[in-house]
Amino acid sequence: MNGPAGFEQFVGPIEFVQAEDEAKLSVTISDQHLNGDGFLHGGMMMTLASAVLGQLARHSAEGAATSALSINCDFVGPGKPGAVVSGSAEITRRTRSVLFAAAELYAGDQMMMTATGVYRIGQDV
Amino acid sequence: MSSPVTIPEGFFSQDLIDPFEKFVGPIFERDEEGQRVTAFRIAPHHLGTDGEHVHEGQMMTFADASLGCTAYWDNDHVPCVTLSLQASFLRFPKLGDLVECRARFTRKTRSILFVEGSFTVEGEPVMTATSLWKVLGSR
Repeated sequence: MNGPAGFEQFVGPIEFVQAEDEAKLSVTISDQHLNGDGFLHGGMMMTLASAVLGQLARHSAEGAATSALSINCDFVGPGKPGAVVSGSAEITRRTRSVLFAAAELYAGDQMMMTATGVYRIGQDV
Repeated sequence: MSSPVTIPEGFFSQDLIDPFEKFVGPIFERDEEGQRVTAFRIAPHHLGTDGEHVHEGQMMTFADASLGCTAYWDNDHVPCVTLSLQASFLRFPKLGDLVECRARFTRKTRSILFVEGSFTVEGEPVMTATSLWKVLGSR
């Protein structure tokens, strides 16, 4: 199954755009996405980072199964309510069985998160 | 979500404050000889794009909430924010699984907290996470 479903649909709607070597997403920060201080919750930020990285991994795998091995998220700045979050992910390196990718999330024009992901491509051996 | 949820035996339901944590579902807690154990049960709205296994984002949200409990409650209730969180996915749990987290400090300085967590389903490791927290009001 491709595109948003399950958790991504539940927390969304998230708009995805897939270009040749880059995945992008956008979502508007709503009340249910916030933390107790009124800013975008870190869990939602990491959900968006993993969503755009996962979209890129599935596209790159050309039909093979993909699975996240590691995701690292750095919280660079806050996301304010009502802001439009845009995210993008690019391939850093791809081998036969492993994909390295990097993502950035912005809230408006403010950088919010940098993230990297390592994905397994194909079934475990 | 306000859908009826069965609290697992031995746990209580955490009184969540963050709207996003309330939205994605209840988090349970119990004490295990002084070690806090947090947990959530994988519901259909937690699943990833394969429709079978939990989404990485939900696992990392649960990690942020659980490691944040340690960073806040076990540091004299001083407010703090996440600086960085890394998760290694050992295996992906499925619908209905109860995911548990046991978190601990690896180092505390005046301004930075290092917190790691082990995540299990029925005792089997499913994820490890390490995190960095900034203590607010410190320099």
